[in-house]
Amino acid sequence: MIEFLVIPILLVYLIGLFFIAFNSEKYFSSFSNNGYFYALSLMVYCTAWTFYGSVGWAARDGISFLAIYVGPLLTVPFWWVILRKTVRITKTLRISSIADFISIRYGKHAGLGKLVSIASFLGVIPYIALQLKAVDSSIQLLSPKSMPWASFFVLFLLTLFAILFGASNVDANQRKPGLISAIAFESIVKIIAFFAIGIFVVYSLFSGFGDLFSQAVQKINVQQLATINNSWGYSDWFFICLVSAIAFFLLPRQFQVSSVEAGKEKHILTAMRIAPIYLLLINFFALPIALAGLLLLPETADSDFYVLLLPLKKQAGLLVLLGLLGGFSAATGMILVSTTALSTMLSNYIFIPLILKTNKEDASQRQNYQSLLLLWRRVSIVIIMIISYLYYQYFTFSESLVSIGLISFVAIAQLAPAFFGGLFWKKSNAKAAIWGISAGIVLWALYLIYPNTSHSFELLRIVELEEFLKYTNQTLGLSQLSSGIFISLLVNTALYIGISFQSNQTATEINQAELFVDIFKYSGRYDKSVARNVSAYFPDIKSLFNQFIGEKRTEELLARYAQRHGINWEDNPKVDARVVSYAERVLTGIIGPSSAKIMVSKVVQEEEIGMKEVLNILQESQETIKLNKALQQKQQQLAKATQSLQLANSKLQEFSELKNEFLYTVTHELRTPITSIKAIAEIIQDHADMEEEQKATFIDNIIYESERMSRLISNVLDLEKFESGNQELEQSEINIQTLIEDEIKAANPKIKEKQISLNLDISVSLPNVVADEDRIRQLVTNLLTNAIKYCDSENGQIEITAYRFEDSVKVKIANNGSSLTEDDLDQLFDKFYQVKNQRNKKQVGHGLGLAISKNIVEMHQGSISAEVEGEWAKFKFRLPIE
Amino acid sequence: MTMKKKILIVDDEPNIVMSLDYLLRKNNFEVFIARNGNEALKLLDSEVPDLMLLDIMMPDVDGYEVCMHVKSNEKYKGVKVVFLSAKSKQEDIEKGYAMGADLYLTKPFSTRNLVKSIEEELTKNN
Repeated sequence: MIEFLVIPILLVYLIGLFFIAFNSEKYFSSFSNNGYFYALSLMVYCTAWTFYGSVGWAARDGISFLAIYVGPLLTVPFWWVILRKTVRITKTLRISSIADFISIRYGKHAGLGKLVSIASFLGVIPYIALQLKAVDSSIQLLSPKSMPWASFFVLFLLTLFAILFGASNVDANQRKPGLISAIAFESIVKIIAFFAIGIFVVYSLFSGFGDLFSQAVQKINVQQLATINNSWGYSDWFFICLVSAIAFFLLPRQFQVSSVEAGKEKHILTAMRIAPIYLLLINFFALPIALAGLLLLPETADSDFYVLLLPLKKQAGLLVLLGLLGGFSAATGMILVSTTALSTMLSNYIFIPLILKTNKEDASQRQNYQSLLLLWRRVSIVIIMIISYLYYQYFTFSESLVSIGLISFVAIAQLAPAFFGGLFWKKSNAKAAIWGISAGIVLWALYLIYPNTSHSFELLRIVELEEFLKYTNQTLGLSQLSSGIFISLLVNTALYIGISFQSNQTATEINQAELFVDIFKYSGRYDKSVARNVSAYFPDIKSLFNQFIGEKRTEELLARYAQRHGINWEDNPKVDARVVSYAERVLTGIIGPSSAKIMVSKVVQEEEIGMKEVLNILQESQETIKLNKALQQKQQQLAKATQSLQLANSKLQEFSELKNEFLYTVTHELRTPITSIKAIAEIIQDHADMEEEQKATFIDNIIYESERMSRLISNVLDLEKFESGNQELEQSEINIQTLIEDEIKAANPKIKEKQISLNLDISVSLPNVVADEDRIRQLVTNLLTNAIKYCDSENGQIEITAYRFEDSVKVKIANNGSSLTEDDLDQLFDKFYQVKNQRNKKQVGHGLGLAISKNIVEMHQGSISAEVEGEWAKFKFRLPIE
Repeated sequence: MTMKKKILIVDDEPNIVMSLDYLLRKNNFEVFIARNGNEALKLLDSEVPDLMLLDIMMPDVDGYEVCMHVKSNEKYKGVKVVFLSAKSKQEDIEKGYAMGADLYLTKPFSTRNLVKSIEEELTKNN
């Protein structure tokens, strides 16, 4: 009965899947855009290998199969960090495959993209073959008499499905809601089927877990299955965990669902809750089913298919069919997503570059690439399917499901250093990635592929090589698998890091590294972040788009872009780097980054970006900081400058005020003698009867006041001359002693009048000095006159001393009865001193004498000072001898 | 014969004092002389003049202070204060009037105008 239902059931299931995919693509495209679909689509990780193989592995090796799930489970806490970043990068840069990701990361290196594509191809083909084997075996198992083309027919339908839903849109970066809905649905089918069979086995074939385990304990060596055993158990467990964890992110189908098909970043949070539960549940019954198989089924039965054989033995037809569907859904899910992912890589990195290369001339003739692209992607799917089928037919018959799967994982794990390094480390470069991946793949082939194939093909056997492999395994103390993983990843990582440190990055590499590692800084303004010196014309960009995505979508995209960035294409057909980058990104989603770059470059004038420009951009932020600092400094300097300007200004103001006051004082001082002269003159004129004696006195007074006035005027002129530097000295050798004695003689009448006692003390050895005699005379007169004026009026004393000190002559003129205070000393020689301090209180004299004296002394390179000692005022000046 | 009006000259410039003294005596005034502010204040204790000719810039006590002393004291009610100063700035003149001066004349002055102004001030009734 069942054997006739197998093919129809699978057909109906496939039609149902078509229906779901078609409808959600057409009508419910936003329905699949939620966290649950995202989580379920991630569970494409659980393939036929899980569905059938876990039980088989458990039956042979016990719980070590769990390593495949423990690895990914351990990474769950880091999903928010890792997945969110890959999703952001993928969406921002319109990345459509893991090959795009790595190639763009390392400066859009086309060769690297090819290498990753090839590595993925090598890794995934056996894996797809494994699924085909599972599907084919399950069909053969249940329907042994069905014609051999039956499984081929199912394969054909799967290919068709992949073409329809995996390669329907020329823009590979676009989400594929149909595919995702189908995958999510399949994830539900496979877990329900597995759970149903598990419950059936435990509660129908046995009366619960207790019964099952107690029977098992009696009849088989349960302890061996319940622990991690065999000599390499723990190391194998570790390395399988490691490669599984990596594979969960980097398998092309995993990258496809986790990043390319991702909707919103917050879906990752939902997946972090749901995925672990799913992984635990789908493994829950693996060991019980394995034990049941060992207990109830003959030893010859294939343990990989206990899931089907157990219900079959009890004639539970519905469960058998459910199991068949579960395994089928697990296999088809994997096949669909893997072929979609691989076909994008193959067409973008292998076929399209070839076409573009051979059609170089045609490319400029604006032919329509859209259909050509889709055609090649579909051709890629067919090629992948055919190669996988051939691989299954010729290579896998001797292998268990598990070993094929693991070999696949290890191949993909070779991408890990380049991928994770590229995500978090800026220093790495394309050369390092290429060497790492290449070496890893070679070692992978040597350790994990060669030994198996050499068993099958005697011709390939090289005894020495096999001996070498055995030797390393023994030295490391690891199984063939573990030492393969260890050595390939070790050499890969070492080369990646070593070469990164050894060689320099190109400008583009620096740019991309910055962009990837700091994606959260750049996403959203990516178009601006790229350092380029390009320009193009809008019509060229438009017709380029037309060739690849059709007129309708072109209009749509460009209109949206123009609207978002406020561009008017018609007014300004010349476009800048921003638009060129956008065009490249759109085409990247369709033909991959390197081809997109080639296509866009045909319509763009680009000047090579130098290292300098990139460094400039990188240093921009640093410079901003520096600039800020510099600005602050400038501000401080400005503040200082302002301060000193203010100071200078207030000094100027003060000076100008002083100048004004000086003038005022001078005119005021002039008024006094003029007042007297004028008054006396008028009086003489008006009083003709004046006595002669009185008249003579008045005329004497007029003469006196006139002299006073002329003295004042000549003092002012002298001061002006000194201060403007116009005074010239007529130097000659003069004898200070004679000079002082002359001056005392001249002042004698006044001295006598005030009854001043004068004490003169001049050193005998006083040398002559070279100076302007008239000026020095003026100086001594000033000081002596002051001394007489301010001298005590009752008991006046004046002291004059002169002596040689070093190369100078020092003269001191002191008088008692002074009212000078310490406070006055600072400004005593200031010509305005009196002005400032005696506004209304007048002192005898006009305050210019000391100012002039100071000028005279300084012109002779000497110095003058005053000090107060009690009621004594002492004025000292020093004149150099020469 | 009417009583001679008393005029107090306060100035520290001897030649100005001398000429004012001669001028005012020739115009029938009784003249008192103070050579500085202090002397003026001392003299004011014993004599109450009809008018003071007051210089401003003097050592020790200046003219403003003397003026304030006179104008704030009931004893000197009716004493006219005429400033005779070389300080000719508007602000100085205003200050002089603010101190209660009856007239502010600047140096150099015309002797004829001075005598006329003094006589005018003295005929003005309080």
